[in-house]
Amino acid sequence: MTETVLYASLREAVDEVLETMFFTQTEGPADPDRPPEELIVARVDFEGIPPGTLRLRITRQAACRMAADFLGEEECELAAARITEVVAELANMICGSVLSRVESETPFRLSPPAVAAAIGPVAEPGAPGIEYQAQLPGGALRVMFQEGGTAA
Amino acid sequence: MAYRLLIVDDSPAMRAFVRRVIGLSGFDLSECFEASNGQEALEVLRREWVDAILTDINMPGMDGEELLRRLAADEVFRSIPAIVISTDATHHRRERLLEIGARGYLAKPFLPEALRTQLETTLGVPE
Repeated sequence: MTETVLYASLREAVDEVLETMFFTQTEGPADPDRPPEELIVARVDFEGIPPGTLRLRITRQAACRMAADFLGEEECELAAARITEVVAELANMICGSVLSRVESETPFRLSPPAVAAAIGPVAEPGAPGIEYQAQLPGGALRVMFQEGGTAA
Repeated sequence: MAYRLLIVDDSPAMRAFVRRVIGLSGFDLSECFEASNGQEALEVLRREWVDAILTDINMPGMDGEELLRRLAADEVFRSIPAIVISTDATHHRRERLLEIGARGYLAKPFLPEALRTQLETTLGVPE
């Protein structure tokens, strides 16, 4: 699998999941100079051939807006736990969608998403694997996909 | 005719989303039950009759594959159609689940209309 094909698969998967399930679209590349801010980070490990990891970082404000769209509720009424659940599902769907696009001969299996809060830049330089960053209504999203091992 | 459905998914957010898009799609829903894994789904089915089951596959405890096997092995439950909703859109997984008893397969992401079409096709709802 070339990096170009994998990047295209990751970008298509992110865009399709956002448009179809979250009723939103990306607004171009994320600003690389965004200052550190409140984030929600998620990680999904996958088993198969090859195994690997998908990691996702999204600004809290963007996550809150997306969760409201996903659940059909008002942003201001959403508890933090519900936003976390939606980010977990976002990571799960993107990971499954990428793996379905790069279909291998063996079935894959996803681990339950691990989600945590963090503070930092959404764009963290030097991460391993393929990454896709996008500006979203209310914030930014960065997704990293690494095959052939698990990311730190 | 309004239908009774059971949604089986370990993600509360996904259960809420499926329930919401069923409503948005215009599908005629009278009652919707929820379970977070296969074991809970079987417990719901012992108490409540449903017309169809929408189930995830990867779940802690009893997963969706085992739920499909249990449904197929039960004289009463085998008549209830189960539709898989999964992030795995690969053909081998789809074929495998259809072989062990799934009556429909919907890969995430999906449009509300696709869910309605899948439900109506599986249930034989007249146009």
